Amino acid sequence: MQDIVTNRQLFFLIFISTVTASIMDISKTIALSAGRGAWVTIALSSVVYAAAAAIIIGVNKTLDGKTVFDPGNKPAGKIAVFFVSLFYLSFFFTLSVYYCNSFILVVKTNFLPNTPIWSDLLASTTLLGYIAYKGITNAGRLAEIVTPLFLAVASIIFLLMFFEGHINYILPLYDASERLSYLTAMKDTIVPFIGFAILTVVPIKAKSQRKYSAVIFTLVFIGLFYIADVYGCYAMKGFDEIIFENYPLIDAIRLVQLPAVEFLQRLDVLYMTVGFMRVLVGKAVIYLSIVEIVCKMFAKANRLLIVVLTGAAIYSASLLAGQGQIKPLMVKILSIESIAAAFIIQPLILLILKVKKHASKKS
Amino acid sequence: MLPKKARIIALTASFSVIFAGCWDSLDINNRDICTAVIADQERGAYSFYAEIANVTAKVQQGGQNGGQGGGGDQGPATYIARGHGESFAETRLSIDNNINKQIFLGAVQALIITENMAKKGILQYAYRIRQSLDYRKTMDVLVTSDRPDNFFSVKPENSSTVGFAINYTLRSLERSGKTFHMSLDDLLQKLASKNPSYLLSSVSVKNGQIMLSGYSVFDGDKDIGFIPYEKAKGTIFLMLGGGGKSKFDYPVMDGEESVTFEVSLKSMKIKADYSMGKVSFTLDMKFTARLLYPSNAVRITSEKLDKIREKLKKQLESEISEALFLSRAYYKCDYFSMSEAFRIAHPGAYKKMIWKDEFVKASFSTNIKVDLKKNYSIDYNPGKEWPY
Repeated sequence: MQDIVTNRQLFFLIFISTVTASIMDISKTIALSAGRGAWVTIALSSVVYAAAAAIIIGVNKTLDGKTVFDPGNKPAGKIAVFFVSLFYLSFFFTLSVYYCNSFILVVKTNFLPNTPIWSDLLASTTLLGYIAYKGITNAGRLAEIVTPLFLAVASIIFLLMFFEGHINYILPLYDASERLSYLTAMKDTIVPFIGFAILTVVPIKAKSQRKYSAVIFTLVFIGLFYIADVYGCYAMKGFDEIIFENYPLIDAIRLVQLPAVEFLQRLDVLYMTVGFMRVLVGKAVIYLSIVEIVCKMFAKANRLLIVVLTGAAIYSASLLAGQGQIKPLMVKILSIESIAAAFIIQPLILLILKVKKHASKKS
Repeated sequence: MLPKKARIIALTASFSVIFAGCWDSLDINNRDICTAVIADQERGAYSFYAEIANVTAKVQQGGQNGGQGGGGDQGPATYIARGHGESFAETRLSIDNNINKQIFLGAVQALIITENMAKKGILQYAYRIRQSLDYRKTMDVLVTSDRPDNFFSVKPENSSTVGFAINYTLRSLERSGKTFHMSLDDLLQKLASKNPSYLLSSVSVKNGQIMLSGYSVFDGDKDIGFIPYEKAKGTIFLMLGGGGKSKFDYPVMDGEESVTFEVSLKSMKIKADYSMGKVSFTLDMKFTARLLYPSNAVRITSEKLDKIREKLKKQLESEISEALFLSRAYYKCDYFSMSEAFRIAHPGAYKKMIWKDEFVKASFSTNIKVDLKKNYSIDYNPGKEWPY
């Protein structure tokens, strides 16, 4: 079992693959559904997703160094495993295309309006393929380098946003008459949080220490990070205007100024440099998840060939997705797939494993 | 098959080709850098005036390249590109047709709207700028009652371009607590809100220099009035709020003598109440007045200070009341954003009401306190302890 990551790598892997795309637009999405009480929705969501992540850890620990995608493993026979693998393959593929599409749209609408999508996609997909080929341990190491850098830059920028923004724009933090909308808005946090599903491809040994606390801490941390993102944008842009922006974070960062530091006048450029590194690693982790599943489904196939074919599929689908306005449709499909991936299939597998374990103990 | 190193080099090279081939790349020397824009509307037609800094040429005196006004000894030459048309699109096309390079708007320091245009409405123009990737949303949006040409005939002392001269003047006033900043983003935020009332700085040319002449009052997207800068101290205190951000010198007369103080607003708390369907506000304002200098050599005593404090307090009360009266009763629009204090305190009620209607009926009460501070470097009454 070489492909086992440390708790720290696990934290960075989950973080980076979760905040990949949604960091740009979560403030708009949540402003529309939860308003200024968004922190309640995000906090509740992070607890719910932490529980879902803990269930995946439970499954992987029970499988002791194997994943649900390994053929002929404990929970079910080969055919059942094949169909589960097929579902997760489709789920990660949709997620990957969604991330690529979101990233390309950000680049196209905010930075390079004249550069064709095929060129941006080609440059990024080739790099992602290389990372995916190297495997999860290397991806974990890369995440370990990029994430702290990104976290440092993002923390400074969020802090400046609160410092330079208007505190009135974020108040009141709680409105009792909006309690119901805080709960219903949780449906809009599915896609922003679903990156933790990469846990399904991370093998974990039964004796691994503190994996539960690591994932719970990570999901709660992501929740706090999103809260800082959302309220930073509210403070800078104003709640009423934010809903008209498709990428409020970029616009909010462009308003942050550091007049005292001459060489850091353009904070958006600094953020984007580090932010794009993070996006690439995040997308690479999802790409890697697809490669891992296909490798397990077709054990005899060449990994390089799988990497190339996966890249070609992601590239073509993202290119097609980039031609039309299909992001809302993708969000809908992804939301349904995510619920099944995190809240139905994994708990079911855990239940089967526990029942089987109990039965084998009895016999 | 190529050896491994050659393959890596080929891959890297292909990447650089892809990245360097960004279709958006354009050399800065091939762009006209715009530093100020004036938008005008007269007799149904629009006009744009763009101040273009020519960074590739330096002039000794005045403007060049067919333009007027412009550069000083050290800075870049400037020229003015003009465009006229029936619509914004037509006007912009007319400008593009007059210049020989693609215009770069990321360096615009001031966007000036003439009073003629502001009175007719700026919403469409604001939306036009909102969608543009080029404009920085932190730039100043200003109003002027002057003719656009007046601006480009001045030779600013503090910069070689009109755009930067305006920016430096406003930033300098802002840093010394004598005005507030209203950026393009603030304007867009206001236009999107339930209370679209705000003030935009108004600039004019006087004695060959550009100066802040006051504030234009906007209700929605239309300019409905003007507050002269000389009478805007109360307005500036209310706009900047507490935290000592605003600072003004106040000479307080006591008979024939006067004592000058530097007055700043230390804290401002706005309490919004809503009872019996009526909105009311209580403003608690704590000012700090730091003793600067007396008009003659008399020693300052505690009795004198008490007397002066009362006079200063009355003066401040009068200015604040006048500023509130102008907003509520005269212009009938809430440019001080009292709506924010009310919304935070009563979110449910705010959602249901038409704020403008409620605001004009609202009552205000102010509690003003003035805390006198001595100047630590000078003893105005030697041998006696402060407050003398």
